[in-house]
Amino acid sequence: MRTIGVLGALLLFVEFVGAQTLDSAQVSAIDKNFWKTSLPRHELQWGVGCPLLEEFIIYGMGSDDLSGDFDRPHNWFDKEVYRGSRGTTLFNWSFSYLYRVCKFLWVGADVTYIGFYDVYYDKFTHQKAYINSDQLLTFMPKIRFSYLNRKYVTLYSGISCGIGWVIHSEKKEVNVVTNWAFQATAFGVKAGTSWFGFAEVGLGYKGFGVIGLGYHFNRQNRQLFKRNSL
Amino acid sequence: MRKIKLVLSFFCLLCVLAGCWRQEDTVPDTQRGYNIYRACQTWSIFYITNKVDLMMKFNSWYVANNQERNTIKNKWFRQYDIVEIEHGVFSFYDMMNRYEYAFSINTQGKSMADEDSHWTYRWYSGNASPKNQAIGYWWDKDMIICSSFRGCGWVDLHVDREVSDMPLELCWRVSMAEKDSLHSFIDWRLDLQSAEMPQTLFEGDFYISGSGCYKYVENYNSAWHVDCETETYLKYEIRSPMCWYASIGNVDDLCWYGGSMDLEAFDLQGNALPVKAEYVKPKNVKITYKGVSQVWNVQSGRVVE
Repeated sequence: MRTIGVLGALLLFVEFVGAQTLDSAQVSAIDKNFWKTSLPRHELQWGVGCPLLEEFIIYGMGSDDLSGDFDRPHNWFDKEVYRGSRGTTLFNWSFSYLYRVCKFLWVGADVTYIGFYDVYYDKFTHQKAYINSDQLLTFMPKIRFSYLNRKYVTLYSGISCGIGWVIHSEKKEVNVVTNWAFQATAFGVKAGTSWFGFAEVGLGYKGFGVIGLGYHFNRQNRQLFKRNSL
Repeated sequence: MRKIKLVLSFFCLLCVLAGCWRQEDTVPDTQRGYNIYRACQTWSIFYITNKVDLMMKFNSWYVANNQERNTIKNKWFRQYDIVEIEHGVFSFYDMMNRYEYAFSINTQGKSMADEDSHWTYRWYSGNASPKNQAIGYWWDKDMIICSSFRGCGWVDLHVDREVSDMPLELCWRVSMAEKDSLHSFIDWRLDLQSAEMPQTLFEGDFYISGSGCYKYVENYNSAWHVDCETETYLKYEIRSPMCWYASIGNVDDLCWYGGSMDLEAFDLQGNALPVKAEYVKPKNVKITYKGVSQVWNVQSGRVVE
């Protein structure tokens, strides 16, 4: 785990240095502030991620276990159940907002959500007993470095770190556990104009892989276009 | 384009796999029956090791001369100050715990080996004791399991010598009964395969037969105020004598290697869970619960057959 973390940090650093080199090469050719009018400043993203990590975080490697209740006689008369099918939101759903502070640096936040719903059946009658659910909601402030900034394509890396809530509902009793949440995006690409598509590869609460759609709010650009057209 | 399709397909496959992935339900059918059996064994072993065996050790001190007494005290009662408060009645004060009263043994002036002996082990169960005794209670978060039969109060365990039919056996009746409740009791017969009185119960094999019932009190309130909300009982009847063996000096290895017993967990709401436990082979017990039979290894806590 530590090795993955070190490699991730190294990759981010290399990408950041690369971004700087590219910028300095371009600076001499174009106006330093040209990006403010030519590149989008505000961005919204809706994405779906692979939920393997979340499932592992919530459920770990454990299984339903009655073996510990020998010294809990008040549990002896509870229904004995087994878990049936598990329903999920299938993907880890994420919503992000980002603001471009300078050409290569964005700041913003991610909100992610995923839910797992387990149906339990009576061990002896096989009738449905109850449904337990685990839902993971996170809020993570985010920094993104975009190291290739073209009109239609942007390449970027980023890191988010924030807070996550695991909402565990068991037999209608709800228990909320608060924990740290993170997302390291090793590589991300987005392509499009106002509307764009994106794909990311990384590690964290958004998922190993994330794909989705986004929208740029280029207010300054639009005003500029309007003035020029007038 | 082909690569993009491949990556997207892989991504979707991963998501679907993650959604479908789940642990198999590995809890055996007789798990709860085994838990009930284990609870019964845990408390039975507690009474055997902490009470009956202690009385036997004390008997070896009681019948010894002064020189031997010092040796025996250093061996088994190092933490206690033993005070004879009246003839044949000894109180034990815990020197490791602020010299608090721990328990008493009433010998009635006789050795445990005497044929008409009636020994009583008395302790105070419950934290409401003037001496704040914790003996007799196990605190488990918000639940109290009473090792005694009443919430708080004096509990007497009687060990009365009985005459055995067998020539090379020593035999006692071990009994304890709650005055307030018909549900809670111990009524054992303890047989020891030995012609001479041993220093400890674990010098050889011993047999226990009879019946009993343990009461569990669940407390939803503070740990220092007993407010019984629910009561669960574990009643058992030993069908054929349970033979016990312990490696000398290792009571943790105490194991049952013979006999069978019927157990029934019940509460005052009319719920009942009958369980049958039978010895199969060393450290293996067959549990029958809700019509299903499985053999468990008591050491690993797993089903073996």
